[in-house]
Amino acid sequence: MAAAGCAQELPEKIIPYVVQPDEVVPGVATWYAGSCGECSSGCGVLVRTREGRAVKVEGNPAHPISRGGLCSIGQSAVQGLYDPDRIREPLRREVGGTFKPVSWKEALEAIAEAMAAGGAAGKETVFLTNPLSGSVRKLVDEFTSKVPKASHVEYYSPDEAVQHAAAEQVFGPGAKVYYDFSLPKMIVSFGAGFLETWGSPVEYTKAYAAGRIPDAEGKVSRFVHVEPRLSLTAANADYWVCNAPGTEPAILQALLKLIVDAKGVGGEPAQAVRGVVVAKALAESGVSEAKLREIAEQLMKARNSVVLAGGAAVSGAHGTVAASLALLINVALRNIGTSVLVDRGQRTVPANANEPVQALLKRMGSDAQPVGVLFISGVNPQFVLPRQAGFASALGKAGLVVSMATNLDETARLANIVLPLSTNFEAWNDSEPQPGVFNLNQPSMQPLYRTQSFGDTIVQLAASEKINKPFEDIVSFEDYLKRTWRERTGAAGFDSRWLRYVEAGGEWSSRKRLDDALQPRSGAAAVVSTALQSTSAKAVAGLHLLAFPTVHLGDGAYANRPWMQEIPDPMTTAVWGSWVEVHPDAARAAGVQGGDVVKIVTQGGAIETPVYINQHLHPQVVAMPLGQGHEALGRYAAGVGVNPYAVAPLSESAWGPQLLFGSVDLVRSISKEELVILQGHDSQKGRGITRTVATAALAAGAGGHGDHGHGKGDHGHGKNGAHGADAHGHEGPSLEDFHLQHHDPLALGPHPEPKQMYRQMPHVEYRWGMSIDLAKCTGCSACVTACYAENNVPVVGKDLCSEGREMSWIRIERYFDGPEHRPVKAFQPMLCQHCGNAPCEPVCPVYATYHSDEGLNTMVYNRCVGTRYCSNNCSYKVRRFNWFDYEWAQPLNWQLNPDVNVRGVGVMEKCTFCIQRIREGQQVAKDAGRPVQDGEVVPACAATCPADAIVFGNLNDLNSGAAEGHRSPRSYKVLDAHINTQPAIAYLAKVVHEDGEAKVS
Amino acid sequence: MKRFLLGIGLLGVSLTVAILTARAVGIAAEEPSQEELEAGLWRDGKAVFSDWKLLDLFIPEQYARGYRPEQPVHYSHRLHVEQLKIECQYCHSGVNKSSYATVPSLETCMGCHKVVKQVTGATGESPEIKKLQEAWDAGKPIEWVPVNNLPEHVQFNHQRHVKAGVGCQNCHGQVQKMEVVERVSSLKMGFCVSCHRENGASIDCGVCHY
Repeated sequence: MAAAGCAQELPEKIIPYVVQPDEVVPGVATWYAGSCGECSSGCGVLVRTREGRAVKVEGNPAHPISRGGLCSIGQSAVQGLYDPDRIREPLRREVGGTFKPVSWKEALEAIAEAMAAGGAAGKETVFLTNPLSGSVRKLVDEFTSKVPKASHVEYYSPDEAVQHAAAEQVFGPGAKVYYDFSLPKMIVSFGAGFLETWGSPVEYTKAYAAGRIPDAEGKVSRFVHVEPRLSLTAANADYWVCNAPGTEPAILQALLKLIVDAKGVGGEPAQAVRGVVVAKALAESGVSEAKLREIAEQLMKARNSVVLAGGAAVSGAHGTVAASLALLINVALRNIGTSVLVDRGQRTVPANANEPVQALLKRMGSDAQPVGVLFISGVNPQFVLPRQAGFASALGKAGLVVSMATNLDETARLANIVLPLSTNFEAWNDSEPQPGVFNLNQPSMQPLYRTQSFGDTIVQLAASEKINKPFEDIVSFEDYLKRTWRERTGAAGFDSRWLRYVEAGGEWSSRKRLDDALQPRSGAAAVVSTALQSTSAKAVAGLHLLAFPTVHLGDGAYANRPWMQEIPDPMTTAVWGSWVEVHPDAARAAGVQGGDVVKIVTQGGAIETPVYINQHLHPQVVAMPLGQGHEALGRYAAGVGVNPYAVAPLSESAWGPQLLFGSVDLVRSISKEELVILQGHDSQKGRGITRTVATAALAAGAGGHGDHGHGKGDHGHGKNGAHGADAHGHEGPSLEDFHLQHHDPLALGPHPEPKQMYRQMPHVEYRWGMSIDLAKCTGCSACVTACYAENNVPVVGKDLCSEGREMSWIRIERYFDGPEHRPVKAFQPMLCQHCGNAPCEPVCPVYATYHSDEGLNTMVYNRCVGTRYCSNNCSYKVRRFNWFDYEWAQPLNWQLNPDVNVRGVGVMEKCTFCIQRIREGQQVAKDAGRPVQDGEVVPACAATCPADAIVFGNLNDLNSGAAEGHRSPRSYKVLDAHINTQPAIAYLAKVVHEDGEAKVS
Repeated sequence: MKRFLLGIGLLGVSLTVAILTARAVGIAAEEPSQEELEAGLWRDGKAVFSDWKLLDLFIPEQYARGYRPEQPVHYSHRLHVEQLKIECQYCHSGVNKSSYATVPSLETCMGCHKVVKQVTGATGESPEIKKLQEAWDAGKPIEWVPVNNLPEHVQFNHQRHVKAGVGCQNCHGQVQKMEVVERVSSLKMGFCVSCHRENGASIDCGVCHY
């Protein structure tokens, strides 16, 4: 009766198309190439649509920037599309302050009227946007040039602004710097989170990860990260240098000095550090001269290297100096044209890229009220600008404020007219993220609501008689975009080429080679040296606040996507909220403990949030994630956490939000707020769950011993008080206390599976398996988001997460039990291991989970009666139970993958190795009359992984990538030697440099 | 509820009868009718337990055999398939390339019915074809009532079965003879598994359930 009982929901009607589009076969996915519009990196994507709805985004393997990878934020774009709080039609503010829906025609006419009236009164029309590129940029340029007193102002994120300024400072006007991480054998990063959100993270991660596995000579790249906080990027480094906050310019100076002196380099790099005394420069930095010398030597010894400065290291008054120094170091090391690529064809930006925004706010706020119409698009100034910038009050003095947004965010709420924007799935778009790489994004579905793209809105506005029709004959943005492409690529044979561009998602055959070894402009050094002399770059006493963007929320635009709230931050594993990371010493001084709520008082205001005790932090730094603290945006974002941007002090010299600033106080607060941390324990208790192997040991011979934890003495580090046994000082028995293992449990390399008393399931044709290379995995969590998207994994909310009832099928394990300079040994994706001898299977009373002849640990939902015995017996804790029927707020449910069941209440679920993709691959193979080929079936996690760390395949096929991983001398299986589970997943130990470890400063 | 109580009562009686009959006659001795064979109720000369008609009383009628809902348009498969000899795949065009057989778009219907307005031999415009025309003019799809329903936890793929040479009638019965389509097979797991067994197809749970 059980089967009938499961089928109580009655089917709906069958509603066929009236006219079925040629490309649609119901039940078969249609793919469209496009580009990701979530940040400015410009990754290529493939959008999977089913019956006219986008359901999944994948990286486009043919794209030159992302090469098939896609980050967590890119994966979540579909939740931006189906955001239940999207604006569905144009809105106009009524006298009472409420918004009322109006038609597009009415809205655009009101705007044109205001522009006409403002024009007559000599007032300005201003566009305030994010940095634009491609046709939309050209369109705005043309529009502003044809409409009297119109201008365009771009807002740059704090880091972008500095990078622009530094590039122009060193290489002259119009310069912009790109990085190639495939070459450097030595990477030194000052605060630049290039594996998280800095620059073009997918591109960088892909190249960086490839350099982390031993090459033909057995060598791997070396990576040193300098930052006062152990960021995700820092945790990936071979050596993390914890410097005093704000001393980065001084350290960079010292590093340049050492290199200049040792190499005898002249010119601008030498000019910049003339008279610098290394010991003096390093005096308050917390970095020893010996350590810096070692870094400098390794930089000079390496065949190729790169030095970066970004994030908090380039924040504040000396930000541009720090970034310029990093570029000059690259000049001295002859990295320009190899790993550091400079283009000089860009448009110039002011020395402080956000100076035009500052000027605009001043004008807006002045009594003359010169701004008649202000368009805001792609930026949320009310959220990203400090309160001291007074954006809201300035906005109140502008004439007509038109916000073009997908959601009613903090800025849109203040506008007079809100125009709903289409997402990248619904509109044409193009961009040029790198010189010669032209992305083309086609709509992959019809707009869900009455929304339009930014480009179409301008085209329609321009058609108005009231502003004298600045464009004569453009009918749509698509038409305009096509025209720009025709102009650029030539008219001959354009129509057939156009289809190829659309199909490919762009055109990059003429990607510009930036291999000129450019020299810095003369005088580049002067600015650096005078800036540093005029003010002291010494460490300032007292606490500093360091704000950092995260891999899920960036700096805030993605906060209303439930996945981005619920998928844990990889370092703290915190969900659904903000926190402030405090060093144990600082916590003691302030009298606070982990989990307490504190008030963080800055010169720009005060905010309250729970404390997370973090030992991996400079004692003078408290750190907070960006992205939370929305007052608006939508149901999932509003009221969650706090926004450190808001309380940043504003300085005239470096106007804009700062990521690192001093004069911060911590005051214990009486309010209560729970910080939900998902990882139960920070130590692996010597179980060898994540392992490393030194290059020397690897070179000495296959296998060998991994660098593992040290049993009982291997204590976990400081810990948030909310969870975990460590806080109470309990140390459970280590696995080394039990002598059950059949061979050295921590040895690396393939081992014969032991015999067992039960008959083994024969795997005749396929044995699906995986190998995960920890040397490549950076912990970026893109796989987790991809899994949520592919497998209809429900979001349960903060309360259920705090009870340990999150539903993720794959998680990133992070243990703090490495050496001091490398506290996290490795990040490790943990998912169902599809054990050959699975503990979960024999305990199921109803055979709902069993081992299939393809090697899958299959979970039959309709058979499950919910005893949860399997989860109790699972050694990897990867099974999830549906305690409730979870909901997808309409229309988030439109994203659900039609090929995967939505599991109901009372049912256990877990990773299936994307069985639906295996079945699809088997179909293709069967039609072709051959077995599935290697690489034909790629699970969602492996497909998106920017590092290519996950390889899936048939272990029976000895030539498959997965089988090769299983044979690697670095391979090991988690807990297998202890409990003989015989997992189908082999992990490959992370490769580390031992020599560096011996010379700990 | 009434159906359920009736079902319980009948189950008791018929179980007794079934056991006694099976003992006295032996199930193999029973000869399946042609109709039952076509409906897939018999395998290797043995009745499939889960296909006992009695069990239909315990499930919603939408999942029971004999379900014959009224459709918005009276479409006769007998007329189109048996008499006019239109292939199944002309309308159910997705059946060999998708997991769904797919129901034809209105455009497919109108391909003929722009011209064909009356049933052969009848006089005047057919009221059913008129419904099509009206929907076409309004740009509205016809909302058909599904007959052969499967629960959500089953992943059934038409394409694979058609390519393996399984005829439509094996599961759907003699649709070409039906004036109104009705559910002939239970489409329950026993029904599927017995056929998979006989034909050497995989009976791994993970083939259909994921």
